Amino acid sequence: MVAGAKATYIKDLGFRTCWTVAPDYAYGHQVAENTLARLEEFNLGIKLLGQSWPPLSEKDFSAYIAQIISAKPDVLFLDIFGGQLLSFIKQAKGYGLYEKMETFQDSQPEQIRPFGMDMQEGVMGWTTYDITAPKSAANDAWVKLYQKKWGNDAFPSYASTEYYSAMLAIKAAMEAAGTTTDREKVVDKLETIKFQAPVGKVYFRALDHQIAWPMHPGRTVFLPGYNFAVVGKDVKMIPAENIWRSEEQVKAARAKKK
Amino acid sequence: METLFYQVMTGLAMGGNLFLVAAGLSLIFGVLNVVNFAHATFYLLAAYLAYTITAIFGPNGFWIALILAPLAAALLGAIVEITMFRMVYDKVHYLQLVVAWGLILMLGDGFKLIWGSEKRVILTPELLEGGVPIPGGTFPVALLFSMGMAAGMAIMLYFLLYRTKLGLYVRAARQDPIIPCTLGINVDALFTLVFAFACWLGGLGGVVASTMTPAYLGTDLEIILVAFIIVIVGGLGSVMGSLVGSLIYGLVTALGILVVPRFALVFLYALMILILIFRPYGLLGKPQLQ
Repeated sequence: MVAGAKATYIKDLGFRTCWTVAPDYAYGHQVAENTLARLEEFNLGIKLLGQSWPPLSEKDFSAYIAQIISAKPDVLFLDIFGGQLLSFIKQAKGYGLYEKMETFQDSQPEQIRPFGMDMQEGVMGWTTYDITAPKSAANDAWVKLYQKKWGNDAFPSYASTEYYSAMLAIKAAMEAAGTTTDREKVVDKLETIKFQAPVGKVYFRALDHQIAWPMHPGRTVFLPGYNFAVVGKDVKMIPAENIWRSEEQVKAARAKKK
Repeated sequence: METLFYQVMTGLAMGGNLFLVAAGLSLIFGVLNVVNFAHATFYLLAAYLAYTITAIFGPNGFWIALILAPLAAALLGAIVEITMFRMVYDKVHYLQLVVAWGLILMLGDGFKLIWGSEKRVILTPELLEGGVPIPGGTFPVALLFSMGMAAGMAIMLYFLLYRTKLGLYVRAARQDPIIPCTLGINVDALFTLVFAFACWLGGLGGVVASTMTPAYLGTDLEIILVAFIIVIVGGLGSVMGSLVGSLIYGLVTALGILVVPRFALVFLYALMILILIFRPYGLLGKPQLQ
């Protein structure tokens, strides 16, 4: 879904060349492969100039950054996260990478908030949640509820939002099933109900229990009153149904595995 | 050609940054005969302190951190040397490793209590922000600063070790601790001083690196592995060998990434293996006297 969100977001931006950076293990290879597959699927005609595979322990990305700058891609798909993403951004700023190309990176609140006001503004990023993604009464209510518990300086992250939503799902399923103790009945209801999460009404697809959780790609921005960047500019809410693997694709993949 | 120059400059900067850590590690081994695997934990301590100091004083607090954080690392180093490492100087290396590992765990838990498990990004001072144009592209000022610090420290270390009386005692102790004893030198104090100084170097490396990378738990274990490779390549116990090893590390990694990105690390390990086979005491190291 992340790869689908990227391809959807950039489809009208006119990029001709790209480069991918992902950690050198199964996840990294899968995410880079999916990104390229989705670009192909969307028929965007973006040429891959190269790929970087830093090991998980890498802290110094200077050599990778210098190489990418020399290659001059239009867009860089950056699929590293955590401390590695922070290191990369900090080093990339010094190299002036953001002035030379567009980047698309993981911009979940946990990833970019540690940067505070030092975060690069205007970079493209995907997130499953932010205090501004989506802008809705349900999300505002969730932020208020969170702050009531943890204080006005605290803001929900994507992980806290997802766990909170999981509890809401179970609560809604129990209410619909009319029981709190019959596990099978609650499970059956989870496959059919829609419930209100901070990001909107969501549900689990019965076929594979994939949640229909929307993606929110956009650009980072500093908003007055916050001491960190949020994905809050040019945000596009992309429904899961537009970018997840269709039921036919899931069935075909399962048949292939058998 | 410009791409190559750009990559070489990057490689030199990468090596320079690691020299400060590797030099301390090598110095401790050379003089005290201890493989201090906890050495990079002092690097991490200083990086965390730099975060706290810049959080209090703002981005320009970095310059205060550059003075205070390595001193704090040195002070903790002296305490640790007196209370822990002194007990195992004459013991087998694996016992020293157990002590170092215990220290890594204890300090790591201490860091978690103080700074939590979040990644801590320092505010970069204005002077070190941005980049300067060089052939091939923009080069970060922070990396130039890091290269300058490494070069400055290499020169200072050379003069300290080879042009001062203190350096003479340290080199004598490296040969045999009995030698400075016969000159009336308090060897215990000399060892504490060397250990603390090495931790100061590591701390300095941590503060300098914090302009380019955040501080977070586990950073020390990532750094020590690389520093150890550098020290093996350069020669265990040879501070100048650490400089050579660091620059080789930086250049091999940077050029390796340019040539065969997915297998860049192989070059480094292959080089280490070759050196271990043909020159087990490293490029500038000397065989240990039995």
